[in-house]
Amino acid sequence: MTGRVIVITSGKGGVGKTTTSANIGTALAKSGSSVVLVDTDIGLRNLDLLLGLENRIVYTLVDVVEERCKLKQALVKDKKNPNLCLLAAAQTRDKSAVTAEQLKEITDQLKEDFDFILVDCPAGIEDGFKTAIAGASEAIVVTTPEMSAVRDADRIIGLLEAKEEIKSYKLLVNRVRPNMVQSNDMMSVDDVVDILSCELIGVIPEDTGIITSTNRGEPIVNDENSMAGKAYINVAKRIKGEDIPLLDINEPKGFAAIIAKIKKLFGAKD
Amino acid sequence: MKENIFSNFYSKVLNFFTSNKQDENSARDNATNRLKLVLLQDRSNLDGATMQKMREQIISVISKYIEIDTEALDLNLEGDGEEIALMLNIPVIRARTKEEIEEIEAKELKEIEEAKKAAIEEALAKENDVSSDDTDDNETEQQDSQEDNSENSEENSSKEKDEQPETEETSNTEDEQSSDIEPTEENNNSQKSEKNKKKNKD
Repeated sequence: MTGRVIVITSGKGGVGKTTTSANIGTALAKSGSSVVLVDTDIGLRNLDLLLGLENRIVYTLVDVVEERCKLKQALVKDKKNPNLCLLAAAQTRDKSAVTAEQLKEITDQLKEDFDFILVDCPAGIEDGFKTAIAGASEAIVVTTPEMSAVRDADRIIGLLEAKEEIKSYKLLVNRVRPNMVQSNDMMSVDDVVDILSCELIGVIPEDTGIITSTNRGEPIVNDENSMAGKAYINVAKRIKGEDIPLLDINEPKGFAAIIAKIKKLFGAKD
Repeated sequence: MKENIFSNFYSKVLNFFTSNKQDENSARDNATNRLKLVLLQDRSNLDGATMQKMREQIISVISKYIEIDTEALDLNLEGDGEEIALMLNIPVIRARTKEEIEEIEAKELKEIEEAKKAAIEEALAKENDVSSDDTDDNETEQQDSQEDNSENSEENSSKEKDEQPETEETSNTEDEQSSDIEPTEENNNSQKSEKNKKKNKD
């Protein structure tokens, strides 16, 4: 088996790399593929929390690199989905604990056993980033419709373009607020795509459910009623090559829209 | 306080009826336009210092012939999609007369000659500092410094000739990473065209 190594990156922190990794990974696993999530944010690990696996971690990526355990011993199986595994980052070390060559060796090994290897990249463009993209042949650039996030995404795209091993990179626009776009208070997805001139792989609407799902340690794709969950499932399908149209995340029109506006008029937030 | 509440409410009511209209000064347009500009700068690898240097040189060349409002001079990268242009907007106060231009040129010549003299004096002073033990070396040094001076005087006769290639070189080397090497030529063209426009207007 030769799996696909996809790095999930953004440049700016806090735009939803880890949330995206957890959800796309879970969605891919639910659709029957075998998936391993690799957290490369050494020293600031969070992927374990989002998956609710924080109490099950015995060995980490650094333990594998420093040969305190075998690679298979360090893989933690997901609670619900046997197709999904996590290779956690060490919390007590820093980014220098793993080099680019070492990570590439690990992803190459994982390729033999899994369909998808999703690498959750740390924020920034320093060594941590360079390590995370080392073994990847594809990338998903996460951004939000905010100026700082788009600017950083542009920088990341430039760096990915310069790396020959990355065969394709696609854009995921996270935390879109359709009502703010409609009132011209926020950049639209089209604006962002136009500015970055990068192929789009998905649009995720802002969803308060993300917070509750993180609190529960259960990715939002498990909640079938959530818009963000549906959007992430669509992204996973597109990764597998299906041609899925973008989810309509716009606010309801007509009578429902009037109600929403009246609510806003009296100071209700979103 | 009361006024505030009422004006807030009024603006909200107004928004209720008008918010679907395209607002040119909307936060959204603001963000896209500012981002496009900043990304042009990021991608071109032209840093603020280089832009400032270019700006000063452009001013010095143009103000030889035209009196311009240097405060209001606007030098910006602009572009849509893949084409980048350097836009130069120069508010002209008035054109200089022939006499004025001649005067300025004469002044420049004087300055250059003075600089030349100073350079020669400096070289001589240095020579005197060096002990006269190695006379052979001193002779060659003298020749070198004289050659340097003559080169300088040629190059200084017009400032832009001397220093523009420098800026082009630096921007080219910095541009190696990105694919924006071509725009430097385009930029020059657009500069010229802008200048021409301004001259024509005058």
